[in-house]
Amino acid sequence: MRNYKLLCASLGLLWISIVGTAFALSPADNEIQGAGSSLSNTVIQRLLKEYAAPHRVDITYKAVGSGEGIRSIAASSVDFALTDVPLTKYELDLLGVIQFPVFFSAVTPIVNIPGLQTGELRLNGQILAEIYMGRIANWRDPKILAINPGINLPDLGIQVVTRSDASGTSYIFTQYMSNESQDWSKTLGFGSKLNWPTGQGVRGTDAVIKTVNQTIGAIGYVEFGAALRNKATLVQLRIGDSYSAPSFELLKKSIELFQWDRESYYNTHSVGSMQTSNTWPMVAVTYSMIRRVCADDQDARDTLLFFDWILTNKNPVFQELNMLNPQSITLINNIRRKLSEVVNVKGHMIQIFAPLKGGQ
Amino acid sequence: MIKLPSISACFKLKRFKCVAEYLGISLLLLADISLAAGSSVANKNIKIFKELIVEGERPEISSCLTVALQSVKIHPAYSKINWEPEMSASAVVKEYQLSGTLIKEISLNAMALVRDQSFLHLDKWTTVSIHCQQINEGKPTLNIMNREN
Repeated sequence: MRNYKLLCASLGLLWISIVGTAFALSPADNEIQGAGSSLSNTVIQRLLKEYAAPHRVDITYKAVGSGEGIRSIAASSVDFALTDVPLTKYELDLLGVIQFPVFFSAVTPIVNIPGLQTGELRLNGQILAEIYMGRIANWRDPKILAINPGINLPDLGIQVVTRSDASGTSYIFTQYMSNESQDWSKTLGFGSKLNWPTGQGVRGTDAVIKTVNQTIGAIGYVEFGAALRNKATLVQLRIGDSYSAPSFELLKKSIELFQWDRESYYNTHSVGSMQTSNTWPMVAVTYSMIRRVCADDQDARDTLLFFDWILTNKNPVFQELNMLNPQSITLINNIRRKLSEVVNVKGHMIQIFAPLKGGQ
Repeated sequence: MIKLPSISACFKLKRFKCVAEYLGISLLLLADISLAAGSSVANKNIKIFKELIVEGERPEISSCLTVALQSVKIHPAYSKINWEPEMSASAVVKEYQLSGTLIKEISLNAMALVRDQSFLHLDKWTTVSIHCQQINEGKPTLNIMNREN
């Protein structure tokens, strides 16, 4: 009798383990694909990992840069794009897509100067612009020395590193220099892809960090969290009357000043208005772009649910990676309202979101 | 269905009601044609913009290039427009707010084919300066100027 009970228990356990394994190994119910911003690659990969299994959906994301992300959504080769380059309402209407903010992060210069500690070197927008225009080419340039008293800078050529792909990080960085330098604004302006006057162009955030970390005398620009994770040397920037290195706190305070008064969420506050102390002057807004009219109901529903999860998720991964997701309930509710505009080819709504309590 | 005599009969008989009906139908047809033309321009803008983006053009200047490509179809001086990748990479984009109005300006150089109506003519490309202004995220307005004059 005892042996019979033991046999039954063993068989039961075997059955549970077989069924459990089969369930765990069974393919996801649906697959969705995204592409774009390399700045957001780390956070989106972490979120995808957390989201995919319990929701039985396989989501893949390719960090090919913001410009390529917009290209992919225009070509309908992905279900969503992530981009740090916003489109205006007119452009969104031409493409038939909607955009909404999903992540916020800081963009920062990084350097590789022997003997220099992180956050030790001071720079300002004017000097950065002159470096990127090729007019300041040595770390002992009098303009750099003047704002860095007491720092022993080497007599070393500056190796400028830029992005050669259509990049959202370039968009933010050049917006900052356009605001800080009239010369830059007149001759180069801002954008995802520029005719850089000097430097070595590389593709993607990882390549910028790698190139800067491997090149003595180099300067580049990347997302703040990526810079920290890769132990890149940060600099201080002049903000208002003082100098600060980037930090999560400064990023958070900067985002609190944003006003989302445009239907397209086209952001005009990320650069320029952030010139007071306790803010950081280069804030990247990563937008998601999805098609207003979707070809496949299930893909669209899965995409919308994934972004709804990101928007309403108090996931510690954001702070861990020095990023933020939208915090204001009013903003989240407005985005959800926007998402409810997504329809299928028959014009039927894909998903209606219940508003979060506490919004206006 | 309205049954009308021929238009010449209408005028010969001086039947004003009949003439008025013809005029009404013509106006309706004209309205239809202009609406169709309007939506066709919008559809062409969608097509051009998408093509530019898919070809990898800078997203922030593509609506300006769309308007430029569309405008040369009826432009008195130029019939075609073209640019090298170097030219679009050199486009200067500025953005500012003026009394609450968001203004985005895009300037770039391009090549334009001079419109020539003469019987025997050779294609003449000239360098032009394109300037777009986009107010409050609307459709960009365009100005094309010859740089060689």
